Amino acid sequence: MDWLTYFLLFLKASLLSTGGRGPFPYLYTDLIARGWAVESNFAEALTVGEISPGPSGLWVVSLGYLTAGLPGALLASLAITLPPLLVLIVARVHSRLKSLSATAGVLDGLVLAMVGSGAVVLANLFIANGVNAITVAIGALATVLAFDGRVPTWAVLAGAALAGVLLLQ
Amino acid sequence: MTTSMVSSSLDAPTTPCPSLFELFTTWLRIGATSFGGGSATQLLIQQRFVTCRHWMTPGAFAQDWAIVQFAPGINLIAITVLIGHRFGGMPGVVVSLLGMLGPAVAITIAMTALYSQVRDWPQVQGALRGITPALVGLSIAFMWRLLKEPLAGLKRRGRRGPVAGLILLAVATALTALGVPVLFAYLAGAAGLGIFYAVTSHLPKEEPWTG
Repeated sequence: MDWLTYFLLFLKASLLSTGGRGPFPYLYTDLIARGWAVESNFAEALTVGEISPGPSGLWVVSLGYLTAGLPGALLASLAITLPPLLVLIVARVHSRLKSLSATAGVLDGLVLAMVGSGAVVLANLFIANGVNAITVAIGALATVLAFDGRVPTWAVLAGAALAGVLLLQ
Repeated sequence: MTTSMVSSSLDAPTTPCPSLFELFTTWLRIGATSFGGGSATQLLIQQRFVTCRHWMTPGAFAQDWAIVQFAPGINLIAITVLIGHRFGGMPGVVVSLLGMLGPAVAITIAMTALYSQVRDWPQVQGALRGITPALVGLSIAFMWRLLKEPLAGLKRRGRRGPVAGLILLAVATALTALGVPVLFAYLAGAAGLGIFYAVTSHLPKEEPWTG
């Protein structure tokens, strides 16, 4: 394992994105291309991120552990902690930034890009997991429940896990 | 409570600033009891700092939250840094981050380590095969909600706004599907809409595009 490259990949993913899911397309493509992660690692890490305390963006820490053990988890923690420190600089120039009309465009454009890249990466994750009637049904049902919003995320995941144990072993 | 404070506007905090120790324990509580992140955690932070302890006014919190939107990385970590700095300078940042992330990271690592012990069980593999499509479904809804804000901004620029947004969305999707590094999709989105917003800023905001 080339630790410096490993750390820099995580740092890039966090620095050049926003939100907890922003690093997802970067890490998925970079780590799988280098053979440092397999597709299922992302489903594992995202699940831990959803059920562990703290920001759901901590799924990146779980990914670090799954791909490189404790050192990986600690490097991942450092990589997601450093970029938000830049908020102290942002706070100083915030009023000037806000008055620029391009700023809102940059932020909105980042969201669009994340959704576009994220859709591709999610499709790859879905396909790698196996496409059949049951996985399609689980995916469709989870989408409907998530849009509806009345069933909490953990319950959707627990139901899907149970369906998997019973039907997909 | 002094009279000057009573007579002051909504913008004045009503209790003194938290000490470093109070900062640490407050963030510790938030970090260890918040699940899933997002708006639920945002509300929890607001409760602790604004509603319960009156260390911050609602206006100050709203302003900090607005600033955080411009910062890279996880918003909840950026708000931790910003509020920590507001009350304790750099030491405040350090204790706030330790409180917010220390136990949460430790528990995340412990849960992953436990999972690693059982990941080869056939039942666990079956569960994961069921969870993966559910995660994809949850993410579709999550990303749809994320699109609301850019869509509002784009609509304000008339009919060509949504068209420009759709084109950039397609470009980002196509680039990533073709195996181009994700960075270029993000750069295309940020630069594309940044330039589009800059050149359309002269348009009247209220008047919808009718051409």
